[in-house]
Amino acid sequence: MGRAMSVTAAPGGGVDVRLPPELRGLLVSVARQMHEVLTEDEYADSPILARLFPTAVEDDPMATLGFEQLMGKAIRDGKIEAATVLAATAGNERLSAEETLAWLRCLNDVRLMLGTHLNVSEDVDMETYLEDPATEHAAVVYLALSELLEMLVRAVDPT
Amino acid sequence: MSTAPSVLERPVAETVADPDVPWVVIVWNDPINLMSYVTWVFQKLFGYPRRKAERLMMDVHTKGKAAVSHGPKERCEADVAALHGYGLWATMQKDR
Repeated sequence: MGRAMSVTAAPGGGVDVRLPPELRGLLVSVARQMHEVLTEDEYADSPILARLFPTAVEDDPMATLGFEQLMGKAIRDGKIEAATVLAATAGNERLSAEETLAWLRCLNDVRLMLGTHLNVSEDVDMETYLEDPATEHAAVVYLALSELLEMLVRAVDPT
Repeated sequence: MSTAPSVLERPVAETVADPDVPWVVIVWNDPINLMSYVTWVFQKLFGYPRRKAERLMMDVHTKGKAAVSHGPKERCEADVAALHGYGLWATMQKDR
């Protein structure tokens, strides 16, 4: 999936993206999946949500609860919004600064989702997941999104 | 709300680093987030220069965690929320 990919800075803080059509299709599907995980009750106890919304205050359940009441909805809404924007703009050649931000955030969330699902750790080589038919697909997607995210970060690098 | 002209009397040191500030925000290492992305988030969120953002990212990566900001509880809650919004594994604690 690495062919014909480029991300370059565009005027106004956005980027121009050249991507193969199958990767654009993949972006729509992972963004929708992310949206589902964030909004459907069946994922409430999923380790993916535990990773996306970590415990905020160390050793202090009351303060953590207070944090969740204060900030939880805004964080969740931000992630839902990013997934909505990614799904809606996955076919675009040029992204505005806001859309670029949504791509960066949602791609990272999707990588957290897939990485948590795969149980990615620093001790396990990605090759291991690629060689196992049960995890091969998720690993291929994870690597493709990692490459795209890396390119986006490079394109928006403020320095 | 009062319109009394008390602005000039207000202490101006609110944003100056205070050694007694009670909370600190910690970012923890995780095997998923890209080093380049974490560096970018630190620059974007906190306005840190590249070098400082990279040093913090490397601390997270090699030492397992780094203190990325500190201040009053409300400010730290906002920072943790923003970091969670970007998918970083952040917590806050009283700065002991």
